[in-house]
Amino acid sequence: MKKIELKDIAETLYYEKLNNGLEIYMVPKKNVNNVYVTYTTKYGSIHNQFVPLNEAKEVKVPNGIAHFLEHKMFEQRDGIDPMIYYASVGADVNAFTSYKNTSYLFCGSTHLKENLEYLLNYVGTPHFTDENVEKEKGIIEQEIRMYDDVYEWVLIDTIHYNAFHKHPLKYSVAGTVDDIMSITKEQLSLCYNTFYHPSNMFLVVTGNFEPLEIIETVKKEFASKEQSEALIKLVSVEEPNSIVKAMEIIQLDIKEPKLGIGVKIPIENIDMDIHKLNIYVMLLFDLLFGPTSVFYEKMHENDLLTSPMFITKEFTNQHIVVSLLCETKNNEQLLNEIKDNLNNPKINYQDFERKKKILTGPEIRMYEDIQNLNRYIINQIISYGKFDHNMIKSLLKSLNKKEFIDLIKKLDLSQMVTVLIEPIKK
Amino acid sequence: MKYSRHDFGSYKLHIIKTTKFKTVSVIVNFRRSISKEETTIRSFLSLILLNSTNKYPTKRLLNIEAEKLYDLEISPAIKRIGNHGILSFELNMINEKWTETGMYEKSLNYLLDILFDPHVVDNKFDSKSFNLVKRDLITKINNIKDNKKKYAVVKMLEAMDKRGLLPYRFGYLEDVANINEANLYDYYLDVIKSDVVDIFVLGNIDVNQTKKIIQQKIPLNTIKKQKRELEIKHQDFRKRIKKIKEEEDVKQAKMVIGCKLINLTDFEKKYVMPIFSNIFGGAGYSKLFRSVREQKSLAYYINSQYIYADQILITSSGINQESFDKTLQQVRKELQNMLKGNITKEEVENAKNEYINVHQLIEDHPRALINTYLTMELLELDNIKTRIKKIKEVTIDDLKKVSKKIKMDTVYLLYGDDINEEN
Repeated sequence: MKKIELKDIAETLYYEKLNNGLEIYMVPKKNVNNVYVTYTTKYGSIHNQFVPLNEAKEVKVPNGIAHFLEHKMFEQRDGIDPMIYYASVGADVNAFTSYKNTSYLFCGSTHLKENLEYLLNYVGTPHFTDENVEKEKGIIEQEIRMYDDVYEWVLIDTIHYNAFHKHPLKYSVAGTVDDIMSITKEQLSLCYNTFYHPSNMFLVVTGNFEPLEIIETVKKEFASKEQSEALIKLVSVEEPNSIVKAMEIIQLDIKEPKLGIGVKIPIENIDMDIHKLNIYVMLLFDLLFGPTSVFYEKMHENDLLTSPMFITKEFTNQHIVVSLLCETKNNEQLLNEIKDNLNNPKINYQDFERKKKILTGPEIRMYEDIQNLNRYIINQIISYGKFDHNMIKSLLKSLNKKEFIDLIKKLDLSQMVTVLIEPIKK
Repeated sequence: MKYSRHDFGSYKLHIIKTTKFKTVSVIVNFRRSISKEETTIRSFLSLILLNSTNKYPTKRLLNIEAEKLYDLEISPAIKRIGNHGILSFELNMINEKWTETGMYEKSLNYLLDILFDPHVVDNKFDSKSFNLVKRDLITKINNIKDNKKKYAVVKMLEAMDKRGLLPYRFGYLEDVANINEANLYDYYLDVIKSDVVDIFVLGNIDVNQTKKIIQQKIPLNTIKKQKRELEIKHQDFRKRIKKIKEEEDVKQAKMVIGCKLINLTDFEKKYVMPIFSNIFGGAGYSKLFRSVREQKSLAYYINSQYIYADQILITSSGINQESFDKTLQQVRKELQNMLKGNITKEEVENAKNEYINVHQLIEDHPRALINTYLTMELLELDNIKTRIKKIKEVTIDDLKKVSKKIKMDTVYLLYGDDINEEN
């Protein structure tokens, strides 16, 4: 087990990798009541084309299957539902699926060893029957319909759908109702056997616990199981730099119009560490459109924006897609202003220095809450392959104006997708 | 962790000193007995104070200053607890031990400037700020319609309690026009003069330094009392359940059910009801989750929420429109099960465990901790330790008894017209 001191924030990270490839990341915090444990597979909605483990031919499975699988893991052979087990020990239990990963979690203050054993065990033993697969379809259908009424999801999903030609980020995590209706227990088993191998998974533990106890429990749990790593073959797609559709108008029963802009930025030819590149790109959009930007002040005064835009991103090895979400009364005028701002980015370098100086702030805040910290570690591993606080710190320190200016010159911000949700005309 | 309460007459300062966190949280609450007519102007005030100050006359300058204070986070919140309206300002900063010396005092002053040195000219709020915020307010009022889950709850409460305070909105469009720079400032002065003020500071801070900075800057000097009782009391149950269906273009129908609670004892309010709500519509072991979702696949979410100061229980779910009768029937059946005492020991244990786990989590979150001290101050609830002890006393018999005091009042359904249409 490796012990890594995070001196600047007085925390310690423990790391271990088992023979079967499973990685364990731990940050103990002695002064909290709870422990937050997540068990993650690097398998999400975008991994729908692959060569199944121990087979030769590649397959394509329906969209939404990773999320379906997550639901079905809660079904157990002995009939004891994980929800009931964790309720009996007073722990919270949940799971979530995103584009690149599926995570199972519990959070509680007692029975840590039993809870951890139970987690590894239920995620390790799937139980699919035709009947329980059918039963789940009604529940997931309602989950999808629930998201259909949340405009933020509609905006993001439509931006991705119109920005990508082939990359599976095109499709929403849960899939469509039609997608899930076609899913079978055989397909679920195929995905499970390929992606739920320990060498494709990792554990993150944050809160009040002893790292050695965690390692012991995990090792014991896997002692009787296979000890070798598995190689997973994903099929990669070649995604063009262009977008699919520049403008989409959707009508929903809302009062205030919503606007979503997606900027698809090619990154294949940019020679920079992907982590650093992501930080610079988000910094750029914050400078151009964030709450302290001249742009926001002007748009607010001209009655084109009420709140600052919500900025978020996703990336593949070929592109970063930055999405800007907002409400506006005049989408045409705002759209022109956004285009102007992107075509001719004016950066105030005093702002750059100020923002750079405080980038460590959010890092410190992360350590405040064992849930946020745990999610942050998962995201780092999923995005960049590892979690290394000291590296992030030196990376933030190394940001500089010259590198930033050079990068901006190289970025192509011209590929834009617009989605407008307007109130239904009655 | 050490809690101290300092009563300065015109305001109370609550300091929770703890080394648990790397940030410092400050919450300032202004509280008064509220009327529905006052909601809009109160929301307006919450927005304008955070738009600009005398020292930082534009929103941009105010935001830049927050960034300079190591990304200090500050937001207003408009809440209602029973008959009282709470206007609160919540601030979170990184403890200066991790940034630079002097940041704590500067951050407190930043907050106090926002609250007590607003951008005012000739006894009126600055016109430019006023007009900007007025537009923001209108958008926010309209926005309620765009979050369908929340909207359905508000619509149910409006059907349940037409004139009362239960359906508390951010504001009403028809009231916006009556507000101007001068009467908004008058309202501000009235809030300063007559609202009860509680200030909470939580973190690894120096108690004396905190007291000194706040005492120096706070211009509050009137002694205040709120006479009206905080808790909402219902007179009697409705004879027949009110059923309302409204059509809008939603992809998923939202069903919301409101129950009234009458004549509960203190113990029932504080301890039996949280357990009742957990068993009925809490986490994955609850009756509604098991039957409506797991057995019948009718919904993805169905849950119940008990609101102490309002003495109501709200059940919400997202369903297909045609499943409405079936789902409602199931909810009624589970209510009957509670009434008949068809409750297992395991369910009670699970519900108590959930309650205890939630309370242990509170101690790991600054804002939740402050809220707990607030409820102790306002509602005279017990402290966490006592709560965890007392919750264990709740019995199946208690649950049966309290079920008789709960009656379904209003059933609301928001539905679309083409439920079965596939894209």
